[in-house]
Amino acid sequence: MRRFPWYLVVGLVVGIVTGIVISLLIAPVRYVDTAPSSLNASAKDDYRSLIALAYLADGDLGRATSRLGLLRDLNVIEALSAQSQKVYTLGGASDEAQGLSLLAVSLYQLASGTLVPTVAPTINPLVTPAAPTLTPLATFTPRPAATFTPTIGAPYVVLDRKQVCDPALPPGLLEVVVIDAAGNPKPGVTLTVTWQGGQDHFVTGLFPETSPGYADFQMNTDVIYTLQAGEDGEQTSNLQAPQCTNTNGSTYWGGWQITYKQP
Amino acid sequence: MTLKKVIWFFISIGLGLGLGLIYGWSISPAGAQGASLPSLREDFKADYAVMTAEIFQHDHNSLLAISRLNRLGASSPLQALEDSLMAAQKYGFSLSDLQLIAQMYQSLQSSPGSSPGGLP
Repeated sequence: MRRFPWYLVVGLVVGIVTGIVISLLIAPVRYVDTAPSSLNASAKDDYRSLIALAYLADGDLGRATSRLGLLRDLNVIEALSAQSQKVYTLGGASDEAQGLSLLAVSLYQLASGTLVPTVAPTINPLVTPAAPTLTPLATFTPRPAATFTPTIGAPYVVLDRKQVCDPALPPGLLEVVVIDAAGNPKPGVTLTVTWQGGQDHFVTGLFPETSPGYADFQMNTDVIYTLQAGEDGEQTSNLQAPQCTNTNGSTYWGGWQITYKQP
Repeated sequence: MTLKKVIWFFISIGLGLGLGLIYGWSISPAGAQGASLPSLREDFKADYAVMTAEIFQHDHNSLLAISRLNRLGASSPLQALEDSLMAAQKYGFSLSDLQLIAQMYQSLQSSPGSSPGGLP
């Protein structure tokens, strides 16, 4: 009867352990001369924020698009929106969140054909660059006029306030639409909801498929809220989820729809 | 142990070593979460500096600009700008980009924390 070749198993195990020690501890992988797409999640967030802030500063959508392409996000708009929401939730810089959401909205409008790009007609915002070895300089000129820049204007006033009874919507949904003086939806506007013992912020523009000026907030049905658009906007108080009645007589929680306008 | 077995023993060690290296370098490398900003290629670092300069030109916040430049891993923010300026020239960045970096360099020269050992 032949004996099992344990020496082979021992040799294999010794080799594997040695290989793992070498590759993880003695000579681990080092990243050198990498492209932005190889960055870790945190560094990608930093890079994305910088792109958004640069866009906020110069309004160059073509260049912002090129730069975002270097990150190779599966869905650029979604990545921007999610990061914007994250920044707001964590109480980060408002201009950073505003830049991220404005850029998301601009890209959405560009993709849906409602915004005409003023630069670099060869750039397709939804196609990432073919090779990471391309330097980001080729498509960086010329500099156009800003397509979206946040402006400080008159405080927002309440244009419309109505209860919404739609069983298809989540109970207690507070929907807000902000428009500018010309009646165009306005993204990047910070909305503040306060209630007894609490406060939260959300921002327009994270749902560009609904409207660039749209934002919503989930109310607790037993809490009364006050809403304010911008820093000095008019307050909408006594917002509580209304009780609605179905055609069959049963009741359910409705919501509110508030429209703000910049005079 | 016969010579044949000794040879096979070392072959199995070599095979195991290869498997261990493949695991540690390819399948689950130590830095599997990805690279950090200092490992960016120099032209991407230069573009990072251009973005920082664009923002600085807009908000004139030197502390934030220094903090951003420090993430590039150079010995100082000014060094990061010098490196970026050279890379930008090498890779043919536009004149306006070069000017942006140069202007920020001049502005930060007088800022505390922009020299080596600057702000964290």
